[in-house]
Amino acid sequence: MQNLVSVDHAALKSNQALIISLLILAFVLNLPVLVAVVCAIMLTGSALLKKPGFFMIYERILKPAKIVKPDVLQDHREPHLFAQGVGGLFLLVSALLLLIGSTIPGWVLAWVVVALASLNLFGGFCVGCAMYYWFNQLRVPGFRQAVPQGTFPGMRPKGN
Amino acid sequence: MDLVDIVTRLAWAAGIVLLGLAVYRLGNRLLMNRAAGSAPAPASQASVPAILYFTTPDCSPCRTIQRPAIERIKQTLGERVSVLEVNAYDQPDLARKWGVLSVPTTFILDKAGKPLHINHGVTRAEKLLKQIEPIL
Repeated sequence: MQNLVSVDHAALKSNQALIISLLILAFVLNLPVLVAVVCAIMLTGSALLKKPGFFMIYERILKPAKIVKPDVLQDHREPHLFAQGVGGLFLLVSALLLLIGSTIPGWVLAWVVVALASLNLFGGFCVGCAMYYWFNQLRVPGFRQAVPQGTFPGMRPKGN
Repeated sequence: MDLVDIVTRLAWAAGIVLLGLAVYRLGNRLLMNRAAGSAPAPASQASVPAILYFTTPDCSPCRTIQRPAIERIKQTLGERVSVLEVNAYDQPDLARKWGVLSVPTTFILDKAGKPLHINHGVTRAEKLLKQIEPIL
């Protein structure tokens, strides 16, 4: 059953842009604490708020200032939250590794998150969403939503 | 943390970003080569560059943004460019052969029908124009 809801893809893209920018800034300034902050925001967004972690910045600054225009599509919210949660977990491990002094593996993991967020932002492919839909096809418990009709898993659904 | 450290890390960041861009461009290039090798372009007007535009009737951004952008290109360039619109629902095999995963997707084809650029998602008229102008 395709119980799609309105999902603002502009909010998702703003979230990805902020994650990428902050993680690169954290790397350049060597600020593991910023990695931990981004991680906390992403995990809070996925687990508690059920929204993109930086949703407030989009909602209160970017959208009212018309810097970003809303792009509402009929889609499932869960795969995007799952993708953000996976990214948050990567950053959790990254932050812990940086904390114990394993700088190279720690920063590599942070860059993996940057790469995946960039693929989503610029290439339009959400790896975490694709994973979610594959788990759904494999009937893994908890992955209830099936890929929207006519959409390749991980790609943006067609507009309507 | 001193300035040298920051500059070094900035250089690393720039290098990684550039490497990522190169990989992305290579991926697009492979996709286009695959399309060019496996699928002939739909019949096009002879010897003019073309925009191969994959869409579907229920694609809202296609209707509200992409089509007007392509119309603008047509108005600007007239007969010097051809627009080949493909409904991906009607021609799923063609869409698959061209590696189209979502709509809108636009390809810029040279005069011989060879794909030179691929644009995933909505693409502004200015960008399309920039891609077409060198091959006019």
